Amino acid sequence: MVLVLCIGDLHIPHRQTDLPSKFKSLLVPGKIHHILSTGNLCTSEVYDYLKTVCSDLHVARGDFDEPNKYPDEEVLQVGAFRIGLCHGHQVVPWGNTSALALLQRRLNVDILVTGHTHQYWAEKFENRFIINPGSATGAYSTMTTKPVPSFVLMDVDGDKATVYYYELHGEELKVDKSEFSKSA
Amino acid sequence: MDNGHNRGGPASVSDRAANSTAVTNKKGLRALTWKVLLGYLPLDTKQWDRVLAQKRAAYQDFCKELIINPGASSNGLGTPMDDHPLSQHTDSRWNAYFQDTELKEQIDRDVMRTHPDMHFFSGDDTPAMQHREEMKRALFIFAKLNPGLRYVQGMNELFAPLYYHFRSDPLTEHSTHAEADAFFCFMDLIAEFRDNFCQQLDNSNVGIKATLTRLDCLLEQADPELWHHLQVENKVNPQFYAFRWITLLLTQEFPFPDVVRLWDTLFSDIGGRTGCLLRMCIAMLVNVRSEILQGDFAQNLKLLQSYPPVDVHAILDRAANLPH
Repeated sequence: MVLVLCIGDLHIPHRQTDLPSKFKSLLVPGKIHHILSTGNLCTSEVYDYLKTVCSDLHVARGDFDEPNKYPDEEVLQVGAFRIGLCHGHQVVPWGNTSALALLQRRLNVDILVTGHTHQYWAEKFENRFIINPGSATGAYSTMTTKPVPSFVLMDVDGDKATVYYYELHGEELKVDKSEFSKSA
Repeated sequence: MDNGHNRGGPASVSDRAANSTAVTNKKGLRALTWKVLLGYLPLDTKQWDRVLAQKRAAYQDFCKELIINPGASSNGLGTPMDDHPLSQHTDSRWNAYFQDTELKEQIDRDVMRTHPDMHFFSGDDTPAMQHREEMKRALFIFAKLNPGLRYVQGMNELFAPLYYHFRSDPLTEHSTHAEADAFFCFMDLIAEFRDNFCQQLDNSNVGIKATLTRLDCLLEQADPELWHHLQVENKVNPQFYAFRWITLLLTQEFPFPDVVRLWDTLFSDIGGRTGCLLRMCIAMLVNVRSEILQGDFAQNLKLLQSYPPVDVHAILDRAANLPH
């Protein structure tokens, strides 16, 4: 059992002051094994904070991150899955399934984690899985009206991944989950 | 009765117990004898098959019940609202799982360090890894079943010799169930020595400090000169050396085969194992008497904390001759 946190598009301090306190109380150290961040952390303080949640932190560069600080794309192996990470502003049209599938095929990954749209979204496409964890702070976006804070936690167990999706509506936490299996 | 149980009838077992002699390890006889001596198997051989099947099934149930697999639980029924990996809800299986993780890590650290000199326990080959996994699981189940005691460092050292012998049983029908058998024998063994492990009882009249005081009194009776030199002149408190002797049942003081020989005698002393252990400790002290009488505080402490290699039979003889 490996827990992978997918979180990104925080835009601190330009669009939001901080991660919602409810999320902060959930994200305690010692539980999560890997963090895949879709970028736009914007400051090194946010990077340092994520490091305290889990020291194995991978960040893809967002359009508001310092250039050359993080790679554009990264591929990791977790359990039986190859997981690709990319912020997604490079993929046009933004958030388009076919365009993202093109990237997914190029990286040859089972799961693609991407961001930029500030809207949680998960889709199975050509027997591969694309996840967008949305914006963890619910930061303003030109693409999404009224974004809500959200992130994704994947429980990878061999060739089975359970995706837990966390969303904050006002003060109320909503958790949903779906499953993705490599063989099926 | 299958051939596995004809290796030593109850008569031969009780003979051995009475004589307090060594148990031979031919055809896994030691494993069997220990099981009887520790009360895991009843004296009536006819019941052995039934008891074994029952206990082994019980152990399987413990494993099923106590080892939480949080991911599997949330299938189908149950809303993920309360039971997700980050949940801090008290009913959450995930929360329980993370609380167990701490205990597992503690056990893991100690099991990794158990007998690093023996291939059975150490190394990266598959059998050694499997042995460690089984030891970890059994100790974890023990800790979960005994919340008052949980896991205390050193239990791994007590579990290892039991598991080693049960696992090395030439009969596969027994060796495959070594984990369950060792678990129940460990429960029986610890039942007698559990107060030494319990921190809350340290200052009571049954805890480790009381046992150390008993040792001190016994030494004074057995060898007043030695006691006077150690305790009054050198001020070497039994706590400095005998703490480990008693809590770990001498496992750290002697090479593995010698420990096993000492345990044969120790287990045979049904009902008076603490007394037997203390007599062994006294015998160990008397055995190095001349060195102790010449040494000062530092020398004696060093001598007793890393006990010199000796013939354990000499110690056992000496211990047997001490007043019971």
